[in-house]
Amino acid sequence: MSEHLEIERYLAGERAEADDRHLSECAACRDEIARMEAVLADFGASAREWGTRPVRHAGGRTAGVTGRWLMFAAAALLLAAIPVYYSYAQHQAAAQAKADTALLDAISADISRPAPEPLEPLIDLVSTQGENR
Amino acid sequence: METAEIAVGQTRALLDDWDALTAAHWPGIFRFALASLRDPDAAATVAQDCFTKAWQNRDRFRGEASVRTWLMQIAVNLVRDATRSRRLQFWKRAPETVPEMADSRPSPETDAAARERLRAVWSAVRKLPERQRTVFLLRFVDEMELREIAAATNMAEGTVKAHLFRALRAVRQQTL
Repeated sequence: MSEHLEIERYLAGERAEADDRHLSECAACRDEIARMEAVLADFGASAREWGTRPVRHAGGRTAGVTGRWLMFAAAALLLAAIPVYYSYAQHQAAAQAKADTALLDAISADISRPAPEPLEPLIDLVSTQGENR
Repeated sequence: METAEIAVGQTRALLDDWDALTAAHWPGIFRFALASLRDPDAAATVAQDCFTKAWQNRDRFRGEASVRTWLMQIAVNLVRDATRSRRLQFWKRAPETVPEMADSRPSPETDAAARERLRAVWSAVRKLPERQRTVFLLRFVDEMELREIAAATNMAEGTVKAHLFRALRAVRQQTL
């Protein structure tokens, strides 16, 4: 029997008539060719199967584009919200200032009273009597 | 009308139905890009860019090769560019990504052995020089004929055989 087949050459597509004759006589080369063909078939099948799976984030390029659009949309919403937020904040600040002023006025009024609020009728009475004398 | 002219006419008609062309060839282009880059997002980008470039250059398509070969030629260039520009982060990010077996084996032992063998093949393919890897993937993943691979990679058929021979030798040694 001739020398063993160069397996890689055969699998790469470089096949001669002598190769077929050799394969019909040599079980070792036949087995090795069959083994390598199975290995390569498994490899091809695994790669093809991988290619049919949905791309991460559900949809590959579409998902990438969708994700990018979502980011743009979020950024646009954020930008649009800034003037609204400032307006709201200014409104809140004005309302707070008004409330503060009212509180300060009330405190000032309390401080400037000659007597606590429940005793004010008595003070009025005293001042009325003084005027009558 | 000459046969060649009819073939070119049919090809041009196919180019006019771009949706059908994309649907027919997207899986093959994506598969090749995925097996080359091992990153689904990057592969999807390559496939998208491939069809964009093809659309932009569709008027220059002469029908000398099949549409599949023409698209694959674009994809091979895009994958090469992507690999070169992302080489460092690519190897860092997905050093051992190995797809699962496509079918289940009759027993857990044979299943485990087949998985291990598959892992060895992916590992060997990963280490192949760029041209050998491209030729190997086009042959055994996309099941292209040698003359198609030659057209898609702009190599002579003998050069394709030589690259395939070396790639097979590396893969075989890894799986012995």
